[in-house]
Amino acid sequence: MAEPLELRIRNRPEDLSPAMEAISRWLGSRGAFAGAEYLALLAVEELVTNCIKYAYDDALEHWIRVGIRLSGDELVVSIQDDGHPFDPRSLPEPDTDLPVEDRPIGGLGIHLLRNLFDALDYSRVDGHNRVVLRKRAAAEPSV
Amino acid sequence: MSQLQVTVQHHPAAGGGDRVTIQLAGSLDSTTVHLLESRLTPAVASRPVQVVFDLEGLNLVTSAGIRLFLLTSKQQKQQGGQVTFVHLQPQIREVFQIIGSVPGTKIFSNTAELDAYLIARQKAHGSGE
Repeated sequence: MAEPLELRIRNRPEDLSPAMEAISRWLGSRGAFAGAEYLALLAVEELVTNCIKYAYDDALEHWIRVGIRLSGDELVVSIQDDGHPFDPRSLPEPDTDLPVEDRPIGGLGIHLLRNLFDALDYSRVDGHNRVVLRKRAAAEPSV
Repeated sequence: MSQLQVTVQHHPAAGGGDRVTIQLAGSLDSTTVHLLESRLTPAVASRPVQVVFDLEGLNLVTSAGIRLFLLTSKQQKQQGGQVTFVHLQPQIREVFQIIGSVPGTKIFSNTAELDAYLIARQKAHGSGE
């Protein structure tokens, strides 16, 4: 039973890089499947950055909790914050009929995560947003 | 710290004008995107006809980086330039596929493929003259 990696990231942009390095090292030392590191880093960067930018009205210090777990061939990334309620699933999918350059630029990161991961779940519990992303190692090379 | 190395090279383009190659290595994310932004502005000041992003050493690109790519593509298209991307690692290629094709940009596996395309394009443009 593999222990998860648990990190607390302060809502300051400069605190993101050390956390991402710690995730890289942790996944590397556990021989995660090819692509797991990219997915985990992308998820943490997109969601924690969103949170730092938009989740808080005050200038106080907040802590965002990040969990990375490998169970069998599955990567599970969880992000928890005490900011405004925000369900990333509520963002509309981009209108793919529009040329990319004419599409609204917001929501790009969430769009990527929804497409790259197998599942994106959200819950609001005790004043906290909790997003959980799951991805199984590809059984065959993705096309 | 997440890090990004940016190397800018200017060459004459096959059909005249300036071709700028921007090699990226490391991570293009919300922390490092400003570095690329600050290097891009002077790099494209000469109004190059071709802007080539060589992503061979790029390990991670997030939406912050994609936004800058889209913006650059749009600006170059308005100025009659073209943006191309070469040497995408498999996961970066997947990200590009999700975003969808960007008008005025092209993606190539390697420099030989890119050169072949640029030469063919030049010939096609030149043949009408």
